[in-house]
Amino acid sequence: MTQLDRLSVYHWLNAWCIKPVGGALVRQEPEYILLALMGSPLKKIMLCSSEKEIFSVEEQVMVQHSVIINNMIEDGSYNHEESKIPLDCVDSKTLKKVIDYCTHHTHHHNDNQEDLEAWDAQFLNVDSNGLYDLLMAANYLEIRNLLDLIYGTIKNMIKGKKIDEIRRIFNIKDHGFTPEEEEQNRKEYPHFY
Amino acid sequence: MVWGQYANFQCFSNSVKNVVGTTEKAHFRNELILSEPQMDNPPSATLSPPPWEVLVLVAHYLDPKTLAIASCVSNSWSSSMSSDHLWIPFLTAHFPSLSNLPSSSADAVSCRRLFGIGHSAVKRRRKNPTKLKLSLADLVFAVSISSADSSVFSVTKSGESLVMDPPGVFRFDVGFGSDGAAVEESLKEVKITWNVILKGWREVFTMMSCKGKINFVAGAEGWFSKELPAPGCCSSAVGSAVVADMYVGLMCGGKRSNGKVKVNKVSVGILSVVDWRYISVQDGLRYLQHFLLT
Repeated sequence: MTQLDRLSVYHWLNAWCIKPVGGALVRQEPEYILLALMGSPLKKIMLCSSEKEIFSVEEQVMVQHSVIINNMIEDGSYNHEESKIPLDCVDSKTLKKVIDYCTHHTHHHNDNQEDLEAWDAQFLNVDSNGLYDLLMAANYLEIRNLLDLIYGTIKNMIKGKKIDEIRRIFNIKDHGFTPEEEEQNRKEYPHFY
Repeated sequence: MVWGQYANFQCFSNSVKNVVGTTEKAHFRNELILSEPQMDNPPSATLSPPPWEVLVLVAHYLDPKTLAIASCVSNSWSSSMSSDHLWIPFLTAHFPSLSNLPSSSADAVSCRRLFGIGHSAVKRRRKNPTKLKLSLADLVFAVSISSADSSVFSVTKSGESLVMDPPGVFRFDVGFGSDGAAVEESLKEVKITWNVILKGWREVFTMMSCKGKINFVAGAEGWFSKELPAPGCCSSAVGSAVVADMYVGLMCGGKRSNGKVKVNKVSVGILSVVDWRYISVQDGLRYLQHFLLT
């Protein structure tokens, strides 16, 4: 399938994306029709976390979101039958979350903006380190929309707040400045305190 | 065959679980069924301090103000958020005139500091006009033109009754027609005064007090101006950009006037010498506020 020009087939199939299901005419995702026509099952890829746990994901889902994985598959180095993609920087818990995110956004990309945002907000309700692990994983895998989401969240935690508030939010007990440095900061940016 | 296989995929379902469950199990080992998004985590109440890798990544994403706030939070935050390579793009974008300072000066300065002082310089330059507490109704204008022997024209007018000429600028007609005495046609030396008095005789400010010459001929005009002092704390070396300006128009007295002329029209105003326009009423009142109200 990698030899075919996916884009042109996609466009052709877009015109044929109507399939009767149970008597009703329903719009069908072209990728699935394409795969079905090619006679192959839904292409899956295997991701291996740092803890050596294997996760099976639809190829389309990961390829759509992660630039790194897309590049790996595009240049043909990934053999669907045997290979698995090792992700030594990402632990199982985080990888599971990342896959969750990508899958939801692929299958729900037609949803309205509010629903997606609500899901995203719920998605980010993780414990303290989970958020940072997600950020590192999204950075490693180059998942642009997840990165923007997490950056935006952290930025909102800092933006427009006083320094003491930020220290409380991020649980920074000791700011580590010498008294002179702290004094200088207060003089330079009095409105931040 | 194809569609039958298709039916099992159930691509409309929200969870991938169904797709995985029905057809794929046999092919993969250690397969995890992807479940619905985790709903059992309580909303995060506390975060732990972020590791430096996170700080470095986030730093690239922030705007200058947030970056400055972040660099004051703690020591480790400061080292990630203060680095020059983060601040140089902001400096060149917002204050291009300052952007060559780090390299040209012998005394090292961080780009973050430069951005900070550039920002406050802009704020200081942006003059916030002082609150206007004076209004025309609080003022009385007293204008007099007198020659060596007699008064040619003298009028005292309350601010409310003044007519702006043209509207919106600090220029007023203070008298015309019958207010003046008739004077013989000649070239006379006159003394002109214009005082602005705060109603109730609380304060006075002399706008102009000077000598000049008016050729008392029918239809003649005279223009007089006097530099005004700079308001505020500057010494007299730093002059103001405005002058007090007076226009005197003469009319002929007609047949019965025995060759005498009268002052027909007198206008006073504050003129800006930068662009040769009369300043607005608000600016004029603000100027006077400096001298009349403490």
